Parts: sequence; structure tokens; C-alpha cells
Amino acid sequence: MQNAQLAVIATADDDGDRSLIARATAGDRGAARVLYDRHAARVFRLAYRMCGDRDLASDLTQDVFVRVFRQLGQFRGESAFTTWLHRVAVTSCLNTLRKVKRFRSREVDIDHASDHRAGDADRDPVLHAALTSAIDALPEGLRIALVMHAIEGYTHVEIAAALGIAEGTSKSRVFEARAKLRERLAGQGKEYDNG
Amino acid sequence: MDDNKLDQLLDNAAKRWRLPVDPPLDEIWAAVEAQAFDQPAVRRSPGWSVVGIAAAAALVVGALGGSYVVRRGIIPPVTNTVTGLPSVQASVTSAHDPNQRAMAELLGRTAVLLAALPGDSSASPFDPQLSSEGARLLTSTRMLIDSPVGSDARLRNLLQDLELVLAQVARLEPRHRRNEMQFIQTALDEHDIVPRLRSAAADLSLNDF
Repeated sequence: MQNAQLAVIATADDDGDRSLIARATAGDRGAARVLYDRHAARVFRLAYRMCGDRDLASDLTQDVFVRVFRQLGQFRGESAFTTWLHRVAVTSCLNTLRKVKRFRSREVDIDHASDHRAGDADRDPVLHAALTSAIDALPEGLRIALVMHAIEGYTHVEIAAALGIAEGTSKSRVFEARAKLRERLAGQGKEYDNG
Repeated sequence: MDDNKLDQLLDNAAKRWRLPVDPPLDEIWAAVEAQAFDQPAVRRSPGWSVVGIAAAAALVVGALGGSYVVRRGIIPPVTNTVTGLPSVQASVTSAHDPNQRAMAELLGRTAVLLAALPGDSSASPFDPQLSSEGARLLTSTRMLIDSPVGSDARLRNLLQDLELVLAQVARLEPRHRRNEMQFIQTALDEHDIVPRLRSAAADLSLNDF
């Protein structure tokens, strides 16, 4: 898809959000629900990718939207709603993961301690174990940038806005994260040939 | 592993790794609706945070003054018992450690910066130099996280929380200020940053540096 087309779609989405925000702020819960339905799945997915824990991802998503709806009246619309939303989401996610880390031993893989359901798509044990280990071993700033960009498809502009960093910093973090992943997964390439 | 293989792996990861099936969005919405719309938001009185932060800054200054008194031998150094938390003093390697000195300076300057932040009301003035100072302190914070000071778990946690707050302060702009100040205030409140900053500054000040 061309950039111009993407820009048109993004603008249309922003306009739709603004209308929904105005109605939700005026007390229209139906509009709030539509706004939630538009964005909740992506917020949940990012949270789940970061923590690998369904219950924790649910709590995070809930916390993000409670904050957003409570502060919706103060949203001035200088930036896109999605920018604001994902900034809240990323901040909440990082803060919560830090809290969780403080209470769980570093030796315990957060993924193993979580509730993995049979329906989850990460069934390949080799892929799951090696990738989870490699990504979770990344420093926090690199990990969030990599997951957002390489796995969740956020643009560097979106990541920069969400993390409060420069776009170039986002690019360099993803670059560095990829280098560390390559290093950590060196010699394991054969396992992924059929992946 | 080469770039192509890594790209392939990450592409697969996007489709398969930690991809939640059937996220409980309806259940989450029910909880969001109950909390966001059915309960009034609990807010502190607006002046509390400003007073608290200003008090913290005053205490940091006081602690540094106390350090001067101890250094002059007027009173002997004592173990910090203000918070009941383990002192960071013993875990920091040397009284003349430049990292420790930098940490103490960072805490002091951060306390002053937080005290100088305006409230979220649009009436109070905003000095753009605050965001510049926030950016400088953010750089120092990130360097200290990776320094020997960061090996102390308590200081590292504090530095990581300060990093988030300072990143937001560094991006403050007058036209976005109201929303941003709410984020900053929330982060300060949720992580008890000001009391922890005060405690760490008090501990560090007991070292003769």
C-alpha cells in the first residue's frame, strides 16, 4: 500500500476516534465501547507479547483503558489518540513488568510461570524457548523497541512517541536488539529452517 | 545467524510467538466500565503533590547540609533509620567514588526539578528550561543505570523509575503540558518516587564524598 493511501486511512481513523472521544466524553458509553473495541486488541496483544502472561496482559489492558477513559476529558487532540493510548500502554507495561520482576525470582522464566493455554499459537517448543529466552534477555529498552517494531509492526515514529525517545533512537535500539538476537541465536539457525 | 534468517524468524514470531488466542476483551471491558465510569476517580487535593515534592527537595537539601556537618566532624555519622529500608550506604563501594558523587548530584538536581514542575492547571507558567534540564538528567540517569551504582538493586530500581519520569519531563511542551503532567504525576505517585528519592539521598549524604 502506498504511503499516501496509508496516510488517508490514518487520518480517517483519527477523525473517527475524535468523534468517538467527543461522544464518550459527553457520557456516551456506546461510543466509549466502540473506541475500546477499535484499540483494545492491539493493546492486549502488545502487553501479552511483552509479558507472556494472559492474566497480566488482561490486567494491563484494563489498567490502560481505565486511565484513558478517566482522563479522556483532558485529551486535547494535539496528537493522535493512538499515540496517546500507546504511550499510556507502554508506560504501564514497562512499569508493571518492573514490579513483577521485583517479586519474581530472576531465575524463573516469566513465561513458564504464566498461564499458557493450549490454544496459544506459540506451540513450537524450539522456537518458543529459544526466542523467548533471547528476547527476554534483551535490556528493557531494546526489548520493547524490538517487540513493537519487528513483531507488532509499529513504526519508528509510533515507538518514539510511545517511549518518549527520538525516532533515530528507536531505529538504533531495534538495530542493536537484532544484533544481540543474532549473537544469542548463533548456531541455532538450522532449527528455524522449517519454521 | 544471518540477517535473512533473523528476518524469517521474526516474521514467524509475528505470526506465532506469544500471539494470544481469544483475548478476553469483553471481560476486560466490563472491568473497565465499572472502574472508569461507575466509580468516581479518586484524586488527591491538587496542592498536595506540589507541597510533597517541595518538601522532598527541602529534605534533600537538608540531608546534604547534614552531610557537610558530619564531614566537618561536628557529629559522628550514623546509620539511616528514617525509612526502615536497608541503607544503600554499605553497598556503594567507596566514599570517593565518582559514580556515587554523580548519583548524589543527580538526586539533588532531580528533586529540585520535580519541585519546580508546574501543576497540571493551565494557569501556572511553564519554563521550557525545565524540559532541557530533564533531558540532561535523563542522560545522567541512563549512564548511572549502567554504572557500578546500578548494581545496587534499590538504586537501580529508583534510577529506572526516574528514567521514565525524566523522559516525560524532557518531552514537556507548553501546548501538551496538561496531559503530560498527569502522566508524570501518576508515575510519581504509583512508584513512591519522591519518598524513595529522599531516602536514597539521605543515605548517600551520610557518606563523606
